[in-house]
Amino acid sequence: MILGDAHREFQAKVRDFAAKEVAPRACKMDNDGEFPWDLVKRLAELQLTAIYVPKEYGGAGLDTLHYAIAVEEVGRVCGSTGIFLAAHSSLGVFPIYYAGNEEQKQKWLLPLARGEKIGSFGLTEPDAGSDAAATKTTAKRQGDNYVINGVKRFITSGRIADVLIITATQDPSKGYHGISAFVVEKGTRGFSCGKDEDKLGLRASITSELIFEDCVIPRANLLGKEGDGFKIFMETLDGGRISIGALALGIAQGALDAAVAFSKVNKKSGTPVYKLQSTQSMIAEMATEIEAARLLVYQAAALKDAGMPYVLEAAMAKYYASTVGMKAANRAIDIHGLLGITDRYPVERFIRDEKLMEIGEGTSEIQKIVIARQILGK
Amino acid sequence: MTLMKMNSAQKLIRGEVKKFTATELEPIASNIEKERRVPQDVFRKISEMGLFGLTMPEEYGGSGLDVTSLCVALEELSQSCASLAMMVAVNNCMVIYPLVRYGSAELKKEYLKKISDGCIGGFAPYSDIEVTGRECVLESDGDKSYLSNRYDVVLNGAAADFSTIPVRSDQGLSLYLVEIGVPGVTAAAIATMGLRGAGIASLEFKHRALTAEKRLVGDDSGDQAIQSIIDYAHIGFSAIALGLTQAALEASKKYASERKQFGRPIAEFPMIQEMLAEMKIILEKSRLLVYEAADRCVTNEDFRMAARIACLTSCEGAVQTALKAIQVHGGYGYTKDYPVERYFRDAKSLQLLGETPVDMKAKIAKEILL
Repeated sequence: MILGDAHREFQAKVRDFAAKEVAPRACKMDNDGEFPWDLVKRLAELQLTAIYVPKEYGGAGLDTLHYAIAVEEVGRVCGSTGIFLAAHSSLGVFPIYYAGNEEQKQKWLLPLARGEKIGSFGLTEPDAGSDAAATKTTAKRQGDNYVINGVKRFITSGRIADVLIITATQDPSKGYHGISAFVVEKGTRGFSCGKDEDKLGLRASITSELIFEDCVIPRANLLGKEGDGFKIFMETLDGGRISIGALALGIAQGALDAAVAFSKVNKKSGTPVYKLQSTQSMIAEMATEIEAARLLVYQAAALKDAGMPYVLEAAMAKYYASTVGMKAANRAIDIHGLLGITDRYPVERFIRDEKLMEIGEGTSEIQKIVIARQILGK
Repeated sequence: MTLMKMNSAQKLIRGEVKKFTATELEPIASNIEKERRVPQDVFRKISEMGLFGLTMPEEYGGSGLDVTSLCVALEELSQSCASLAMMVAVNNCMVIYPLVRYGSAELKKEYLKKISDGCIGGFAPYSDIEVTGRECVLESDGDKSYLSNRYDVVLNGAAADFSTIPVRSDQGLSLYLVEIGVPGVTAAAIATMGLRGAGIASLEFKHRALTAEKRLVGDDSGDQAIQSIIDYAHIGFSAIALGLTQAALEASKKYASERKQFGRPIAEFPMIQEMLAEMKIILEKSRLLVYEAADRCVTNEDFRMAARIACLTSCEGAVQTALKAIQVHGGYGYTKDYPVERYFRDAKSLQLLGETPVDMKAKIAKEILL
């Protein structure tokens, strides 16, 4: 897809930031397992925390394609920074932008979009993963309040978030019609975080357990109407898939970049690695598949921007980009030979990070079901 | 290999290692990787069981068993702890094997004795990747040479008392035995993606004297010797890959049967079943190839092609099986609460420590075209 001037300039700006300010610290972030606060501040200064949100609500006033490009470019050097950005923008910001009333937007969207506050989305539970509608977390009306009880798991940025959107059911017998979405602020009594996950990759991104024990929130924290929760999270995940597709794409591109750099600088038995036909074959395959993934991701973003249906395309983009991304990251290690499994080179980090793209925000298996339903019309 | 075809010695080893693995190794496997070392008492027990010297001739104090027996032991060990299996494989295939095959009587006496005393050796795989900006410097002074070089990846490096290293000079490639932990030689643990408990380290040499007596293989045959060591090690590595594949399948079977979504165990969903079936196919395919290669070696046939095919298939199989296992486990599989992400990191690391997949295919093709 040919990008216009505005998108290309934006791409160059983010690429420059990622190369200069994120890439040099990506390995250390992975080792330390903490997301640096100064980086959050920089993302906010560069207006990357809510790219597609209108300026009146504190966003950059750009479109979804800009957003996908930003996640791709950041993910190209650091998956953890990419997932932070994607989770904040698509999961923290979006539900309020999409379903919040004016008062809620002023209260939460504005600081989230400006990057003054960090957002997070609590959907997954210990026993409700792919089966997200099986939520066990409950919300009971009590006068002008709701009382939340339950446990959420695998919540990106949960512990460090200021504003969390969570789903809870008011009536489990109603299935997904009983689910509503609520805003919970950090520090609310009855809300705490359990352990953080010790993960294969994305190690600088915080993944938390959220615990609600008689957590009382005001009625004003309900997003949309009671029972709108399912619709809100489905819509959120549809858009989220574009960002995960973009991140899968970025990590894959990063792996290709690393393989290209390695093969240009080093020799194998006296021959520059890039001159070997085996290297060229792998580079060609990786580059072609990555370009195809890029087209799918950009297309899904452009469709959303045009107000057209994009559910099918977003699912395809995430599914395809993560599949070829794993393949590319794997090949990139092979090109490095035994040096590829050491942390002197970024490729082993890329494959560890990339694996989550086949799992988070709907596994590849769920994407296939979404795609098949769209194609079959059932 | 099916239990039926095993000889009594192999059945004995299998039973013994299986028991040790289940009771003593499995509970501490994730800790071994966290601590990046095998606890002394476990190391000693493995040594007492004779695993480090399993293929060493009895006259030197070893168990004198064949490579098939080694594979049986490695397959069991790696189901819990591929790092420890790797140490056993390296010591047998890359230390004992070249010593027995190429070593002078003096070298055999000295170093095989060390192994029978409970020490292990290391091996620096010769990488034909030349990292720009780093040169191996070899200065000659009479009959002595002085080596300055860094070996990025030395197997068993952090746990070994000595290591075999390749040294390239104008005359060709030689193999030397060097002591670790002496002046001029520094071993430093390196951060690898997997096999983190296997003591993989870098070795730095600063103007270290190399004497002719410690030369294992001379200039004119170093390349050939390294190739034969790698060929032999492929059998051991493929058995480790086999164990990892088995472990990934077992973990997935268990998880898929227990985990419920949409009101039933996820094992009932066809997409999960397909993944389990694919894992099983890889497992059986790998097992046939691994023991076929080992058998050819034991019967003194040319096993090189078979070993390469076994290693290529089982290592790639272990990587793909572990990735599928993570997928079956979903978000849980991405965390260290379950062992499958470790199986993946171990498998991918293992795959690159022999010949790379690209090189193996090139050599298979070369042999086809002979």
